[in-house]
Amino acid sequence: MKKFADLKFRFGICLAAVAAPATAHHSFAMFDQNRQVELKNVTVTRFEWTNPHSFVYVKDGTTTYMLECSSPNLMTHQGWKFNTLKTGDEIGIIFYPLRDGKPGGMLKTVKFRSGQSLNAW
Amino acid sequence: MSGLKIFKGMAFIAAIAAIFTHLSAVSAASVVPGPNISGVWERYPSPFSNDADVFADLPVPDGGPDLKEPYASAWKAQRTKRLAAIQVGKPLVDASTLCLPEGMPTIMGAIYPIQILQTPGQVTVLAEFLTQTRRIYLDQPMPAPDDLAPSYYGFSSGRWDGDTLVIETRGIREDVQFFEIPHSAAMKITERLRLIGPDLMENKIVIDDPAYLKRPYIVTFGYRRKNDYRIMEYVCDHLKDVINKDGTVSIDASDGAR
Repeated sequence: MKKFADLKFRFGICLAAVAAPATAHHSFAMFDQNRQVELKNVTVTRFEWTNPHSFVYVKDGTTTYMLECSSPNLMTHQGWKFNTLKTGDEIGIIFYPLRDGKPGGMLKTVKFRSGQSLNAW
Repeated sequence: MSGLKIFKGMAFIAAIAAIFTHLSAVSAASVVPGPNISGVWERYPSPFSNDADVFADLPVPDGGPDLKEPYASAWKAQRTKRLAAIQVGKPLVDASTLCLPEGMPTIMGAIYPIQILQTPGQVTVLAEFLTQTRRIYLDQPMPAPDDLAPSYYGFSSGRWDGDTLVIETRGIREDVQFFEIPHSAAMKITERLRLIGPDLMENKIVIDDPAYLKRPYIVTFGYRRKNDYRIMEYVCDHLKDVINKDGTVSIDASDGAR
C-alpha cells in the first residue's frame, strides 16, 4: 500500500459537475469517500460499458484493480464512449478505494498519456 | 403490354399504396389524445440535493409519509438501520441490487431516463433502469379487486382531463415498496401528469392508503425532455455485487482476470 499516493479528500470542481445517480443500483458506502488514491501508470485489462455502471479493470504490477464508474448515460456527457479505453492502454487513475482494503474502488478520474483526463464521476 | 407499361402500372400501384399507408398513419396518430408527452425524459431537477455528494443515498421525497402506528415506528427503525449500515460502509441489500423491478410508484422517480410512448388507447413508460415497462390504459375501467392480480406496476387506468393525464393505479404487490414504506393491498396511487413548459413535465403523485397512512402522501416529480438521448440497454448480466449472509452488500473485486 506504500506506493499509493494518498491525496487529501476535497470536493473537486470536476466532481461537482456531475449529478450522479450513485445509489440507483447499490449504495456507494463500500467506497471510502474520504480518501483518494492515485496510481500514475497502470494498464487497462478490461473496460465494460454497461448499465447500471461501467467498470474499468487495470493492472498495476501483479495486482488487478476493479474500478466502478458512473452510468454510461452520465459518462457520455463527460465525453466517454464505449471504446474510450482499450485493453493494453497505459493510463493514470485516481479513485476512492474500497473500505474493505480489497484492490478496487470508485474511479474518479482517468489521465491519458496525451495529458488529457476524463472524469468517471 | 410492353415492359415499360408494366413498370408504369406497378409504379402507379406503389404510389397508391404509399398514399394509403400515409393516410392510415395520419389516422392512427389522430386518435392519440392529449398533448404530446412522448419522448425521453430525465428527472429535473436532479433528486440529489447536493451534486457534489455522489456518495449520498437518495433522500425520501417530500418529507416522507405520515404513517400510522405501528408502521411509523417500524419504518423509522428500518431507515435508521439502513443509514447505520451505510455509515459503517456495509450497505444493506435492496430490491434494485437484486435486479428486481422498481414497480410503482418508484419507476416514475426516473433515476435513469424514461421514455414515454403514446399510441391509441395506451401510454407506455419504458425505463432505462432495469429495462422496465409500465402500461397505462386510457379510458379503461379499473378492474374489480377480485380481478386485480397483485403486481409490480399494478393496473393503471388513465384519462385526459384537459391538458392533464390523470392516472389511477391499484393492485400493487405489498412487497413492492417506495423507499421501504409499507402499504396495504388497497393502496391507490393517483398521478396528475402535465406539461409545464414545452419540454418540462410535472407528475403530482398522491398515495392514498387509509389503513397505513394518516393522510395521503403527496410526492411531486419533475422531468425534462431530452430527445437527443437514446435509452441504453440495461441487463443484469455482469454484476459484481456480493450479497452477504447478514444482508449487506459488498463488491467482488476478484474477477479482473476473467
